[in-house]
Amino acid sequence: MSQKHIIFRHIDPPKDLLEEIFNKIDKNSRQRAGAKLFASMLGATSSLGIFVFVFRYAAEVFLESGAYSYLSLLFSDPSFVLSYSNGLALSIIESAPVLEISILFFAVYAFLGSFKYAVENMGNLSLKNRLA
Amino acid sequence: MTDNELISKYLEGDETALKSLIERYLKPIYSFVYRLTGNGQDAEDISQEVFVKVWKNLNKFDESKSFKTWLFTIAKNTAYDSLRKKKEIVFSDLEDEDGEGGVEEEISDSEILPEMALIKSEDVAGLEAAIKKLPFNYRAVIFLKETEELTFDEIGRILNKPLNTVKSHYRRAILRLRKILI
Repeated sequence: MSQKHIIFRHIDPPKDLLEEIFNKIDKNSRQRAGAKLFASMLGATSSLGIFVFVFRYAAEVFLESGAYSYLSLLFSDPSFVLSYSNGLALSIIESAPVLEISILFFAVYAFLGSFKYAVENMGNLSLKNRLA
Repeated sequence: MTDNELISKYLEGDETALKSLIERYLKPIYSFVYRLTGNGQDAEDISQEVFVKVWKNLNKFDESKSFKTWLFTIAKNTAYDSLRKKKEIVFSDLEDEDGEGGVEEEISDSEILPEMALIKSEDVAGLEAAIKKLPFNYRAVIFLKETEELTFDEIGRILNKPLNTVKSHYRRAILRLRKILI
């Protein structure tokens, strides 16, 4: 072996360094998953609260709207509905609280998304698939 | 399996691929950092930090580039930051010569400088001590060239220096070592 190779050899690391590195990555990974879980649970809780509020408001607006009155006809006088179905359909659409319903759908979507994210991060916190 | 294949496997969810990648580069990185810091404990701490940074940023790694170069860049920067915090690096250690001049440009990657051939067996311990006295960038160039057998171009990318500067650092490092040893 030449002098050059002796001077510029690789140095053996301590035996437990590899495990320490894996432990550190695992720890960081769990911390990350914990932070994401907290954020997603906060998101899920907030969006659930928003959903309840928006649902109540949308329900109130809907009950007071013309759409409710028209829809009531469906159950009280089906023959009238069949005769004037085109006009009735348009009337229902025009008087429906579209904005409130849109917000409601968005709140549902946000809640389901946050909940799914929370479930995924709970999995990441588990002891499976650890490096160390 | 190549580095890029391991990275792809890891990003697809195979944790063992990351393990293999770390095992592959632990010794070179530890050696490099040890040579830069001259201290086993620091080399351990910095090596851990390097691989954690690699893990955190692997999804941002550009697979068209060399993983080895990227990894050693992280190692060099982490070692440098650590030494700066401990104030073991002073401004003069940086010695930003741009290596202008024809001599350095003529050094090829495979050329062994005559000065290196003059190292005798009794000089080994002295040489190690002498290397520790070199400025930070000179040490980095020497070990990346001699231990990791990287090209000057690759070293330039790691140190973020022009090619001629890297060659200049290399040549001046060898000359300084020769001066110290004589």
